[in-house]
Amino acid sequence: MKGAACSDPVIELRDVTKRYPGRIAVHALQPTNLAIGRGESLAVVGPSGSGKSTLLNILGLLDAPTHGTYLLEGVDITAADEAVRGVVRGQMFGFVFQAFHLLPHRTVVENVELAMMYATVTVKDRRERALEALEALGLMHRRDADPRDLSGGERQRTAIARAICLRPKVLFCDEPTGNLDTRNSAIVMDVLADLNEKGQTLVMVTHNLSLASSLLRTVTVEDGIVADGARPPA
Amino acid sequence: MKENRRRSRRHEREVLTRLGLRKSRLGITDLLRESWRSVTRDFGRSVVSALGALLGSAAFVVTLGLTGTASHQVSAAFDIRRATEVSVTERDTGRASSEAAETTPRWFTPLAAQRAGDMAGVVHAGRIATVKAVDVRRFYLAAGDEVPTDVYAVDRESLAAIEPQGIVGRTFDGGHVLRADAVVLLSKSVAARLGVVQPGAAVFIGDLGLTVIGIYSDVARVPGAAGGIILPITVQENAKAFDKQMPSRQIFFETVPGAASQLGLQAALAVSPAQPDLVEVNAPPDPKTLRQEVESSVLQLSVIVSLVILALGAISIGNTTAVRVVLRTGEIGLRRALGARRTDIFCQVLGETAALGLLGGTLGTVIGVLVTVAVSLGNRWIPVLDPTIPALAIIAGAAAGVIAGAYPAIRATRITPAQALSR
Repeated sequence: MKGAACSDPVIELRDVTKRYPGRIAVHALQPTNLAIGRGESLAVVGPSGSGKSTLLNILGLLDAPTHGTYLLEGVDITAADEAVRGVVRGQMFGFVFQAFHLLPHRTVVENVELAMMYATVTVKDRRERALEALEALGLMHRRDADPRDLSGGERQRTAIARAICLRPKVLFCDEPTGNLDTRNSAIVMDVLADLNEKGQTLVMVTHNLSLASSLLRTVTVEDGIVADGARPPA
Repeated sequence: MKENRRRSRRHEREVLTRLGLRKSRLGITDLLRESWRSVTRDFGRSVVSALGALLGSAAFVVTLGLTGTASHQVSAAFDIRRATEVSVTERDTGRASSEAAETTPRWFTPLAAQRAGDMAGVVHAGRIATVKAVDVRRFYLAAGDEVPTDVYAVDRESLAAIEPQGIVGRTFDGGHVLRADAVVLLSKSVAARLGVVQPGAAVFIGDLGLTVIGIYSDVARVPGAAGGIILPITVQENAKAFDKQMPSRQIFFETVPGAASQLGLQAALAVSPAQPDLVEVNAPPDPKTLRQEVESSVLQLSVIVSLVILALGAISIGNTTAVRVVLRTGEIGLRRALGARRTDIFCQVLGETAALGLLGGTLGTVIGVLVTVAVSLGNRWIPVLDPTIPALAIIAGAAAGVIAGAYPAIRATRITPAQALSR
């Protein structure tokens, strides 16, 4: 996968922390500075409970940081309310989850279209873009299938199609191969690598160090501390 | 507060403009489609969820439908039986009655009855003088075998109104009345007590001998006559046998259906134009008003029962939806991640419960109409159903769904995408 210089970051975190309040407050993320360049592929690795998902949630605006500054294409959106964050998530980011999160009782193409429903894309355009994405991921022949009838690899590729159909600036993947066998994992990773080759910025959380090694850059999270630039051992 | 909100909106606009984004929202067509699809994706479960609204709407339509149908039947019977009778009697003024007994009051003359009969809407109007507990004997000289009975002295018109039925023999006519022929009609019970089995026999009241020309088993009007005897009013007026007891007098009207109330207002003036306050008119209450009063009471009760059932239905939908929201946490989180606003989630859950209510309301209304028609036809009634009732039932079902969905919808908006997607 290719990389990009951080001189033109899409996302930049400055001294960002995350603290979950409670009887015993949890400091899930210590002060973090991180910049993600355009077209970059970034792996977030670390043991369970280290804060990888917290970092991904903050980067993907699924959660708000406790302190610090969040810059998106140079625009400070730290203070943006949930409505703005929702718009950004829907129109600038794509998400791929370990559990696929496909809606049952909907066909594959309808699941892909779901991403565009909140972005005021017309019904006709939705169908065109969804079919385009499915074509790109080799799922055209499964367009009318129920997701429950798909293999794990097909399900994840459907989820990727849903994530990329609006051509997001950044694609966030949370353990995208966690529920897949080796063969399907390889297929999904090939798809992601291909997207990155075409310029798609990629941020992937994974336990799998060999998968992380296929990405240009790796950040390691341990006890909420983010260490940037370390390449995982081969 | 307002200033903060305005500042926040301005900031939102600025950020979106700088990032080249447009506001996201769920269009109304998408909202309706998503709501309906959530209902149809598991239709059986949706019907079970909507059962409360279904029962409420069905109960609403059935109770109001059957109430309308039944009251129509009751009213029809009421109109025919009760609303075709008017009687004019002497007002109780507290004056000594012996004087009145000796002479026929002006309001009770044949001429007064004729004036009454000339009124529009009158079928028959005639005089009836009732003498209570008169001793009737089978034989002239016999003693101790008297049968006390009420005597109804009538003219041709009032006899036609009373309409004795199941007659063995014949009735008397205008000629008998005019000539004061000593003839009598016995009710079946009096005939049995006197031992009269067929017409032609003679019976006696004091010195007055009467020929039995007919025996009747029932009467259409003046129910007391069904157990008494009927004779020409001229006989009663002329015979000394009745002098001992003052009769109670009335001008009795049989009217066309629906005219009784109006005639009741005019009858006093017709029979006693000089002194209308001498008489008292007994007319049935306005059937329309009475029907409205009855219907109004029944309607209120029906609506309350239906609303209670509908409320239970709404609670059932609310519970089911609350559970479904918990089960769909992942889906809601995904939608939020894909850009759905809290308002979109709120509207979608509300739309789904409204669709469930609409489904229940519509099915319930169909069932309610079918039950109403089936029960009506089973009783050979004409089904009477106000067309607004089914429409109201459907709207009520949908409204119950909306109300029921409010709480689960608020809960759904509190689901954060990070929390939902980590499950």
